[in-house]
Amino acid sequence: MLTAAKSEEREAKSEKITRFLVLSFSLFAFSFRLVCADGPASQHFQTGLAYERLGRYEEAYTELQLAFALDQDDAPMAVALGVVACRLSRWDVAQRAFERSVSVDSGSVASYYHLALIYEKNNQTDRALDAWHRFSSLNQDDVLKGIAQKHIQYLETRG
Amino acid sequence: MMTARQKSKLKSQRSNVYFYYLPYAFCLLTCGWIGCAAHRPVVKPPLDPSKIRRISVIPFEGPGGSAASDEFVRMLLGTGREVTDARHPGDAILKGTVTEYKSNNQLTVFLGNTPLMTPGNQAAVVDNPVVSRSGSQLTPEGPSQSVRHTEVVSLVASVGIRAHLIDSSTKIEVWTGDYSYEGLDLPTALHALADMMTRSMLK
Repeated sequence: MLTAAKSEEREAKSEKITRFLVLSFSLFAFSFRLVCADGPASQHFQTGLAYERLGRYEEAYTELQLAFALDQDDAPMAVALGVVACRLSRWDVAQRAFERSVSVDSGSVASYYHLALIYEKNNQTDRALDAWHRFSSLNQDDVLKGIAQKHIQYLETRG
Repeated sequence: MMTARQKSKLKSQRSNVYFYYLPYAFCLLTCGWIGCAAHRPVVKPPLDPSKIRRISVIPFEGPGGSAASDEFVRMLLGTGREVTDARHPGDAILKGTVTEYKSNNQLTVFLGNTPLMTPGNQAAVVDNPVVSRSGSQLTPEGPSQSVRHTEVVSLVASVGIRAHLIDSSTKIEVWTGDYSYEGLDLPTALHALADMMTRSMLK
């Protein structure tokens, strides 16, 4: 009698332990999945975008720089950093971010547009012309198409 | 046969003709000559902008007018021309109006692959597209209305100038231009625009 009761108790204990282990593993797996899907880079990116929408560009810039430092192969992240850096007149950072974005994604339209303007500002005529031509070939916006043609014409005249 | 008296009378009549009518004829001829001279068109060769050595720059009107005229002065000095103010007119006078001086033209940058609907209802997927807010009819299209596109706002400066170059002596307009240009900031846009217009003006 006594041994039967003890064995039942043991079984119940082991069942509890098994349940606890299964639950712990499930929780760990769920957390791991969350971290992988929405990693720290993505979290900084989303926070940066939220700051950008609020007009808090310094905070947005810091968050987007952290995101970019953690994941340099994400073109949209690099583009967002470049745009915010332009708003803060940090042209060098903007140039690096846009150049990185086009090396990751050669079809990044906004990157070519901003790079063309940055190269023009730096008097890098050949690079500006190349960026304007690439932008023109990918762009869908009629207003910006006209602007690109005007810049190309001027830069070709300037030589 | 004419008598001596008749001859004398005839001579006297002739001298009267000369005396009375010749001054009239002279006056008529002189007036005619003066008249012709006065109505002859003055053909002055048009001023060749490339040969202008001295230009007086009048401060431009409109927002950013003084910055624009300063930029033109710098550009003209860079071409080797002499630049004066309005009180010391040169071969030509440059005056103008700044029609646009904006540092905050907004562009929307959609992040990631974005399906766009063109005005002709053609769908196109574009990587990180940039769309102008004024005038553009491009709209992002999602699989459902609930799709929220991630976007950031980019600012670009733009400057527009209408300028005239006038011959100081004849007051005839020898060049006119209405241009605009974009840049990351106002000084960059203005510098490029003044350069573009100076090249067009003096070529």
